[in-house]
Order: sequence, then structure tokens, then C-alpha cells
Amino acid sequence: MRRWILWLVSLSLLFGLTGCSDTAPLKEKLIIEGIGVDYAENRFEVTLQVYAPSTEGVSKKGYQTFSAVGETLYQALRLVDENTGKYSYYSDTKVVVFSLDALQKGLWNNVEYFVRSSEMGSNVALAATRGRAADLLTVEGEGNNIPARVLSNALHYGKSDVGPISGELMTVSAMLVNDWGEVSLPMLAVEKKEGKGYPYFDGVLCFHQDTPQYQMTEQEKWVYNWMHEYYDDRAFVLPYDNHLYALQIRDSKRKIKVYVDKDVPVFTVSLTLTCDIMETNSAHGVVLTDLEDLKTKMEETVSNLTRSTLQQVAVTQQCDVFDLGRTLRKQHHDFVRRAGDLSTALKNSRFECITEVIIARAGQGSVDE
Amino acid sequence: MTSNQRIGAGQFFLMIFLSRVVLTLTYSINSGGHTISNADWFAALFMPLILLIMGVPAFVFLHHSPGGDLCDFAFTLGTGVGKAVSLLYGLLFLLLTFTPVARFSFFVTSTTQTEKGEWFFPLLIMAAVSFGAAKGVQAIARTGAVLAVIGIAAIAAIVLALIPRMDMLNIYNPLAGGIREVGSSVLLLIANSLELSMLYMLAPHIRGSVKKAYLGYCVTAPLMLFLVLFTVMAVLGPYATLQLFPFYSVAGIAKIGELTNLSALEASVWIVGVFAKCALYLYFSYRCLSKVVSLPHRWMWFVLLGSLSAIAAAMSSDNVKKAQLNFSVVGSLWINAIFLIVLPLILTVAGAIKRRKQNATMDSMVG
Repeated sequence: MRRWILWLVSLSLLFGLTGCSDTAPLKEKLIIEGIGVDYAENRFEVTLQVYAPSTEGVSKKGYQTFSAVGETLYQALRLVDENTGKYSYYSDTKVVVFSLDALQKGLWNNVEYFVRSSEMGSNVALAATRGRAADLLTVEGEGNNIPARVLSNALHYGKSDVGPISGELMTVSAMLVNDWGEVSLPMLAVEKKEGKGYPYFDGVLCFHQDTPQYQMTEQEKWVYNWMHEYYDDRAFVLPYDNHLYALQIRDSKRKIKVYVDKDVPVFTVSLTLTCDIMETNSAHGVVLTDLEDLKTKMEETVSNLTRSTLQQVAVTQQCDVFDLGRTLRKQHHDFVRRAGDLSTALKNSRFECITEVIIARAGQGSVDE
Repeated sequence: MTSNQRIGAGQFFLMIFLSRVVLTLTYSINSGGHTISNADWFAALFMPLILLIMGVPAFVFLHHSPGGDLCDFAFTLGTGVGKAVSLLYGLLFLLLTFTPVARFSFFVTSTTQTEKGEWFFPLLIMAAVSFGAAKGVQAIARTGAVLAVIGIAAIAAIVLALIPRMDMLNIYNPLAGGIREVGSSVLLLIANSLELSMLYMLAPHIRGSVKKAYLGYCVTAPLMLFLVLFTVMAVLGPYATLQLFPFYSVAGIAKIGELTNLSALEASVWIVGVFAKCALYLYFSYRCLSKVVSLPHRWMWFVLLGSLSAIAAAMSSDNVKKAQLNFSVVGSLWINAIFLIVLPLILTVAGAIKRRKQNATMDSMVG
């Protein structure tokens, strides 16, 4: 008798505690892969890209799109569930894209729901776009990749070991709520080719507190990548000795030290770039004796670019997207406390940049003496 | 306790270790208004010494007690004293049973999107816990020992998986917020260190060196605390202050190969830890209260106490304000002070005085 009672109790616990009683079948769920947030006429418009395998006979593209409009982001998202009669499942969301118009309403207004949601992963990638976010969710993929995954790959530069450039939900929300630095979001855009849209990385949008403040230039993006130790396969073109050298930056390391000189923080940024020479635009190719001068020229260019970018972005635009404030807080906490907040502490900062360039390879081409 | 209820010193160590670690995993920003910061992992470095000092009254008591647990010793001072102490400690252990269940229920209903009400999980968990408690301390200790090893492996796996995500910029001088912040963290860690209560109830029935087992706990538990708290701060940084259960959130970011979102692993360790810990505390509650009141059958105690715990857990976690009480630092500090230090010391001194009087009486009779 006791054994039967035990079996009964165990079975009831098994079915109760394993969530069997609280499930929704897959067909009743909307598996959200990507979210686009737009804003127009005082309302948020959300576009949800939902995974829909073509075997279901619903979509040959492998995804479906649903939209809704609401006064707040949460209201719009809930309306999608109401309109479709299905339950939105956010745990698989890869990317959330915000239009500039939506971001003008305040970054916290856009991300708050995602921060509070227990389903949304802390490392979901956030991005911005100048146009409509909904358009980005229709970019072409290759093979079976749906747009949201294509966008996520674009943010990873196609490398699995490089994180999205600083646009993770946890980083963004932490910076917003705490005085630990400013937010930066990668910008994506769509390029149309033969009637199809392809995503590309369009720059970095820097925020001052809650508001979009500044978009980095093409050259400044380099410094952003170096300072975050990201690397991609873009060519860095360096004019030297009447030729154009195209270099591939393979690796970047940075160290930041800071000292306070009469209440002025002086940052010493040390960059070490490892690069390969891929093109020389000259008939004689790479000459060993030129390498030293090329290295010096590259170091000078990188140092000047880094100094000007830090000055423009972190000080003039007050967008500390380079972890300078956090470094200052770590190394000189008392100075930050006396200044009151990080923005004030960084106001008159000066920068010294030391660059070391290591030319690792010259491709397969010959290297002459 | 009969001889078949004796447990090994290693089992005892693993039980108290598991009990403490479970509490750390369930660290919440609701903890008495305390905000997680770099001072927390720094405070963990002081805990070995603090735990050693906290253990002194317990070992003084054990040295003077004739072989029974705290309640048995109280009965040697008089039936009234024995019943009063048994009642107080019985209620204490009941509190220590339902509080982790309430915390777990609060966690599940706020972070895992379940639609279940506040009664569901306390009822289910207490059903299992009551069954476990009824099996006795040996069964609980054996189970707890296995679960502790699994728990250690799981936490180690999560911490190792998070190493690539650690950013040392999130770690800054723990004294930056002042000594007060470190002091607040130390008090929080002390408030959550109620495992000494297990020592009072189990020590006379442990095979092997109790001192070595407790010493091992004083070293390893703070080390685990340090690892967990340091990992949370290094990975999440300021984001930790936005998370209700930071270690659960950080486990969600961990990945090992293709295995992502290890928060389920963390929640599993939590569940098994809660089961073992609460089963033991419920058993202690039965041991104490059965000395005050008698019921016709032993199993009735576990049904009664299990039901009371389930009701208390459900009622104390059904809204945010009440749930905060389960994390109260001040309340826990008072419990620590009164039940784990002051009362045992009073009983020890009273016992010593009584023995001296008895010896003096015997000497005068012989003389």
C-alpha cells in the first residue's frame, strides 16, 4: 500500500514539477528571431520576424513577419499575440533593431521591456538603423538563413569569436542605468542589389545618456574597433611614398593608463596592431628596407587618428564609448568621486597615444631586399 | 538519535556546504536593500575568520554537553527549560524550512514566466521535502552529499564557462564605496550563515572529527562565495544591479561549446539544494517539537510541519513587499545572534553552574 502511495506521489510530482501542465505546442508559439522597432505618429510600431519552416507550408522563405502598433513598446508587442492568437516566445531572439526615430524617444523607453523580460537573453544584439527597422528584417539570406540571423552574423563580422560591437542588451542597459559610460550601437543599413537587399555595417551611433548624439565617421570607426580589440577584414589604406598600401589588420590590443595632472585626466592609450600587407599598388611590391618607414608612417597615422577620435567623441561629443570613464574610475576613484560624475570628470581630458605596428606578413607576394 | 541515524563527518561537511552555497546562488538584490557591488566578493575574504569565531560558542557548548543535541541538553536543566528551548528551536527550524521554499517560489514566478500561482511550488516542494525528512537524517545526509558534489561541479562548470566573458574593468577597488559598504556586505554574509544551527543538532551524532568538518566549511564555503560573487561582478558589472537574481542571469550567458544558457543548470542546483537543506531543517523541527507535544504517529509530524511550511512559504511570497521579508538581513542577524550564539552560551553557562552545584553537593555529602 505504501509503495502505491509513493508511486502516486512521485508521478504527481513528475508531472507537476517538469512543466508538463504549463506548455504551449510549437504551432501555437511565435518563435521570434528578430524584432524591428519603428516610431511614427506618436506610436511605436513593432515588426516581429518569426521562424516559420517551409515544411509547414506557411512560408517558402522560412520566416513570417507580423506587425502591430501601440503607445508603448510593450503594448505593441502584446498586440501581436492578440492579433495572431499565438504566444510570443522571445528566448531565441537574435537581434533587435531600432530606427533613429524610435531612439529619439529615449533609449531606455526602447529597451526597458527587454531588460525586464525574463525570456529575452541578456546577450541579444541591439542595433540601430537610419531608415525603417522593418526594412532591415527583409534582407536576403543565403541558404536557409533568415534575415535576423543574417543581421546577427553581420554584427559578428561573420566571426564566431568576436562579439557584436558593444550592442548587447546587458551592456546597453547597464550603461544607461549606471554612471559607467555611454552607450554605442552598431548601425546597419540595407544595400539593394539586383532587387535584393543585403545588410551592411553602416557605422557606430554614440549616445549621450539616453539620446543619440553622434555618428562616427568612417575613419573614426577604425579607432572604435581598435579600442574594443575587434578586428574585421576591411582594408586599411595607407598612402606612403606615392603608393597606396592596403593593409589587413589581423589583431589589435589596447592598454589604457591614466594619471591626473592638476585635475585634468591624461590618458595614455597604447595600441598594438598586427597587420598584413595585401596590396602595395607599386610595381616593385614590398621592399624590406621600406618596411621600417612604412611601419613608422602607419604608427604615426594610427596615433593621430586615435587621438583626434578620442578627443572628438569622448570629450567634445561627451560620448564615452571607449571605457575611458570606467578606466578612470578604476584607477582614480577619488578623483571621480570629487568630480561628481564621469561626464564631468572626463570633460577636459587629454590623450597621449602610443602605437606599435607589427607587420606580420606581406601575403604570398615576393619581398625584395 | 539512534545509532542508525549517525552520519559521517564528510557527509556533514557536504550538507552544510551545500546549504550555504544554495543561499549564495539565490542572492537577490532584494536582500535588505543591499545593492550588489565589488564589496561583496571582498567581504567573502573575511568570512573564514568570522565563521571560525561564530563557531566558538558552538564548540564550547559541545565540549560541555553530555552527548545529546541542544534540546536534549536543555532538558538536563529542567523540563520547563527543555520544553521552552525545544519549542523555540522547533519554530526556528520551521522558519529555516519555509524561507528557502518561499525564495524559490518567488524566483520561479518572477523569472521563468510561469503562470502558476504562489501556492503551486511550495505545495509541490514541501511534499517532496516532507517525504525526505521522514526518512531521517542519514538518508538526507547521503542524498545531500551526492547533491553537493553535483552542485559543486555545476557551479564550477558555470564559472569556468564565464571566464572569457569576464571584464576586469568591472572589478574596481572594493573599498571605493567606503568601509561602510564593505561592512554592509559582511553583515549580509553573516546574516545568511545560519548553518551553525545544523552543528548544534547534528554534532553529537557525527562519526569522525566535527572540528575538521567545520574547519573545512569555514574555508571552502567562503571560497565558493568569493568565486560566485566575483564572477557575477566581473561578467555583469553594473548590469548586476538590474537583475533580481544575478547569478541566475549570469548563468544564462554562460556557454560550453554548443551548450548555451546554463541558467537551467543553476536552477537545478538550486532545486536540489533546497530539497536537501529543507528536508534536514524540517527533520530538526520535528526533533525539537516532538519533545514538546506528542502525536500518535511519527508521520503526522511531517504532514503537519510540511503543510505549515507550505502555507507559510506561499503566504510570504505572494507579493513583492512580503517577499522582501524573506531576504531580510536585520531579521537574519537577530536570529543568528539569539539562536546560534546567545542562547547556546546561556545554556552552556547554566549547565556549567548546575554541574558545579551538583559537584559541590556531592563533595559535601562525601566530606
